[in-house]
Amino acid sequence: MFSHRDRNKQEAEASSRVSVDDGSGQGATIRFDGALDYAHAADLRQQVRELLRDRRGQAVILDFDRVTAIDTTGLALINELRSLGNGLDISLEMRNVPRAASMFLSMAQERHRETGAQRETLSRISRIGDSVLQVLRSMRHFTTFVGDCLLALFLSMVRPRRWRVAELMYQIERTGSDAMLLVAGLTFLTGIIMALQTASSFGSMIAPVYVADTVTLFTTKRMAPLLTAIIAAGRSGTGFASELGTMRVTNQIDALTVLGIDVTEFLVLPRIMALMVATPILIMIGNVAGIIGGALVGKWVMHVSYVSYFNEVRQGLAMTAIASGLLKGVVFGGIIGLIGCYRGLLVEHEAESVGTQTTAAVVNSLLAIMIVDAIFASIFSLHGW
Amino acid sequence: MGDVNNNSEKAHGGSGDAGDGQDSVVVENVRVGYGDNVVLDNVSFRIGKGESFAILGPSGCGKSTMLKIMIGLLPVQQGRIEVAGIDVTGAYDDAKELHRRLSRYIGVLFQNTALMGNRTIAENAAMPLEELTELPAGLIQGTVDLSLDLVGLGDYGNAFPAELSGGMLRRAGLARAMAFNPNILFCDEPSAGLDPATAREIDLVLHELNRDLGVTLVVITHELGSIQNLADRCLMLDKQEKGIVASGTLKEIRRTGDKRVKSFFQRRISREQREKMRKESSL
Repeated sequence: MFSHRDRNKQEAEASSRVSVDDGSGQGATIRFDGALDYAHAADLRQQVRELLRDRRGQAVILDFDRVTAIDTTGLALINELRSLGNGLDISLEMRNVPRAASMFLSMAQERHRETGAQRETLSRISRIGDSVLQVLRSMRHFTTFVGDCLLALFLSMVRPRRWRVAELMYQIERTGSDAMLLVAGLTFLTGIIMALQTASSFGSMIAPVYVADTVTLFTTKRMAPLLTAIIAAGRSGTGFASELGTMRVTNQIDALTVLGIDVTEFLVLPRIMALMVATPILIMIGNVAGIIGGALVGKWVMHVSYVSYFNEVRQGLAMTAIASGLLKGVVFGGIIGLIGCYRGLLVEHEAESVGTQTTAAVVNSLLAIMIVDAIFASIFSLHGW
Repeated sequence: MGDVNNNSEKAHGGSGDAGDGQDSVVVENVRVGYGDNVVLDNVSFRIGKGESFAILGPSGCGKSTMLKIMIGLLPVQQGRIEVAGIDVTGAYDDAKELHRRLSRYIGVLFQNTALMGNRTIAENAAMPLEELTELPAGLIQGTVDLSLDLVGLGDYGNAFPAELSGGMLRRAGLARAMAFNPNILFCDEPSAGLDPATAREIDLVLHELNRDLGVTLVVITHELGSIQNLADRCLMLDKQEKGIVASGTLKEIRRTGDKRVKSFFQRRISREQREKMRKESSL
């Protein structure tokens, strides 16, 4: 706080006020009394604004002679009154502003000018153009990244010595084993819900016949692959993005680059491969859990024996449905891994960027999963799968 | 030496042309920036083989940017950079190949050490050898043990980075940077944030590497202690100038009358400044 004069603290803490003297020939004088600080600034602001509005187009002197203390809020108020005076066409004169306070204000203005000059102001049209270019650049960048990954994959295929088996197993454990319970639990519950829904939709006479078929078909073809992919995007995709992002922030990526280690081969490929292996396995687990969920409802709600239920499952279970689910798993895993790693490597050297890119990773992954699932559905329906 | 207001630091003892093998680092008329924001412009200097060289300056003057362009992490907008005889400016079409070649000649000690948290210190130090060579595991282990002994961490090979103190982490980073016995070691603020005794220890290790192994040291720092302990020569960068404001030995730089150099070295508030502040506070 900038103390104005050598007055005691009690005086500074006493209530502050403004007074007006219209007697001077040079125009009205608005005099501040007491502390111009965060505790009093709001009241003073309201009073002075009203006083200034009443004196539109006139000359006004703001006198700070009796001010006992000013803090940053007080300085901001002085700045605001100056702008208000300009807006109201008032010839405003500041008198007896404490020297330290006026120095602080001029320093802040100088810094503002310096940084303001560097800021680029864009028109609305330029901003739209800029966004379009940004999107195109991102697409080009992502395509290059995918190309890099494919090249690294090809090179590791032709040089089996380069396979990082330990790293791959570690990533499969993280993305697969650790997510197993979650996937099983969710698909099991969804299997139960689906069976109950079938029972209530078809009625108690027909439902026992259809419950196994409905649960089996819907779980293997749609629900298990989609649910597993969503879980993988939320768990592993964001994990990859935040992990690689943090490595970027802490210079670990730079260190690897400088050491001559190929970041794509070393960090990205094992993660993507792990997810491409783990996701189909998780889908299989989801299939089983969903069907078991349906069986429990069949047994306890619709009184269908386990033998009849699983017989029905065996008849209704098409290999094409299982194969299509597994194929989706490989593709979804690859997409989630690619997007997660890509977003992680886009992080700049600041912590906030990790959060932004992690969010982008999950949003992009979910969008991509839905689009690809729709494409799969169209292709499979054309082939009658 | 000791030229002020000159972005080109010219000849120094024993230096020659880029290709004559006398210089470890050659920087010629370099301009670098981020988009339209130019950080350094028209910067030239050379660092001789076996020299201990410091790049100093206040925060935001472009020291870290200078480091990034020298180790090939950031392309220059104009000019030429050669490190260990490798053209760092012209090889951006194949950045991976550039870094693979460079990694045999340079080591980098990052300020936050950049060690991988899920690997032990020994595994971190072994990483470059495992990834880039065909050496058998036993030989890699032996090399890593030697490197860790060299920096005084022989007993900590199985520790994870999170288990070590700041000074030990710097040493571990140094062990990894020394994996290929590089000719040039770049250090980004090697003793920043350490207590004086630990900082002195790190400086001592670096000094020994330079003196005994002939490693060229390029130290980016604003720590006066480190500059005094390590640098044969230094250059000072400035934000307003966007380049070099002084270069030479520490003594030569300190003798220059340039205001920016003076204010960098003079942390103490002058009598006039104190007097001015007292007057202002009594108002």
